[in-house]
Amino acid sequence: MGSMIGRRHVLTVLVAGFLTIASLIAGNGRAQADNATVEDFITKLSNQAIQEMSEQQTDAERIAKLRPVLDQYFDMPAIAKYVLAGYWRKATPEQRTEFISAFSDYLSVTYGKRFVKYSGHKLDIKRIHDDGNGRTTAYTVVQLNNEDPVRVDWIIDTVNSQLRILDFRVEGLSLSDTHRQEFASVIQKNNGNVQALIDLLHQKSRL
Amino acid sequence: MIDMKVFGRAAVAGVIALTLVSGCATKPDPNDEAAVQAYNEANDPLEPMNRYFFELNNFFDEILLKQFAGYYNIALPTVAKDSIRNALRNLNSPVILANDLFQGEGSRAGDTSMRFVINSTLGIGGLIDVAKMMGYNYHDEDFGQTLAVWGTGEGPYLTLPVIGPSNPRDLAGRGVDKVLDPLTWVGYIYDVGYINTIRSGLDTVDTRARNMQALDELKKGSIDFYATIRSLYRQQRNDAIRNGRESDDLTPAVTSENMIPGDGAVPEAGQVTDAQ
Repeated sequence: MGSMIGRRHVLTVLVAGFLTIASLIAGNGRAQADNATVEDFITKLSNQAIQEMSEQQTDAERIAKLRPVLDQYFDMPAIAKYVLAGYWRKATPEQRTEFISAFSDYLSVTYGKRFVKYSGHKLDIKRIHDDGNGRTTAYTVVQLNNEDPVRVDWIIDTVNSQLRILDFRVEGLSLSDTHRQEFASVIQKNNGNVQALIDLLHQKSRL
Repeated sequence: MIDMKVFGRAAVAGVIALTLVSGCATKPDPNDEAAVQAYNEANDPLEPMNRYFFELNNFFDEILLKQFAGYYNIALPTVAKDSIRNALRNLNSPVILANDLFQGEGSRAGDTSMRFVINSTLGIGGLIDVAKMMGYNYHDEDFGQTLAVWGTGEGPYLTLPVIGPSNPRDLAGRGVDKVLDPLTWVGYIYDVGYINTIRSGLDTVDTRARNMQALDELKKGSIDFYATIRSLYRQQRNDAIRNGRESDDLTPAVTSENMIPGDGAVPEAGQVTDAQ
């Protein structure tokens, strides 16, 4: 009897042990895969965005290239919501959808034009920090041409198990925060009218 | 010089007109959550006056400073411009060192001291940044940042004539930095105050020249240039206060629900089709 219990006990311990080891391996493997995935994601983005963009000849071509990059790599709906702040709630569902699209167009046009001078770049990932809730911050240093290296932090979220950028900060200057402040001011000047901002974004997106 | 007089008069007229009549921004309807949030985040109760000075600064920038900076960019080769900037930075070392020490940043104070010694001697009076080649990188520091490190809040946003974006903390900091600067006293004691005028004039033109393209693009691209500058000034100052160090608690702003009163359905990423 005693030996039976002993044997069972040993078996349980063994099974438990294996499970623990298995989960540890799996856990470790996943953590590493996550960092690797994030690195891969950022590298792919920077290659596609900066290199492809630099190959284009005209503003129109660059803008056309940037728009799909935004849709593919950025969580535009979440960014749009953050950028509109309290006015997101006031906007009608149609306005929200229109704003997301108008804002994406506006970003492609304004930032598409700025890519002209970048003929070469190097991106170093310094550190990846797990912010919890599927969110990660990748701290990178980007060197464009022969200029001084620039700190760029990427805030990345997991949406439907896919990585999406929520924001990036260049030398501490956040894309989302800057537009949030700007847009709040525009809406305020227009007596709280979200549509006025959307119309202005359309206007600014015209070439 | 005539332009400066015009500027001075316009500035005085602006202060009087705006503080008397409509210096303060209209407060939002307290029931309008979105407007209240926007008002608080902007932290700009003197917005009408600030916008007036912003426009004024912008006007003089367009007709004066930008022109000078343009000539400066064309006339001087990069080497010369870099030498000027190196020298200006070197002259500012005592103030940077004092603030490094005030903030208890020992290793940064060491960097600043080494830079000052190396560049003032080997670097021929600061014209060549030899220290950088030896691994002592430049960093900026001022008393506004020191006050922030000591726990002073920035206060409401300000746009000042000539100076531009600021706030009470940074404005006070500028005053203290002037007092900390040995050159202020040299100018005062030996009656050569013009050296400081030349220095700050050069500094202004050099900085403007370096940001020529960035500022032009920003101006063209933004819908509200004033609000963009206001936001960028704050973010840039906050980054400088942290000395550019990575701050993990900075991250969660986006999509964190407490930043957004109420909620609205967010379409899933990738599911949004072009609404145009």
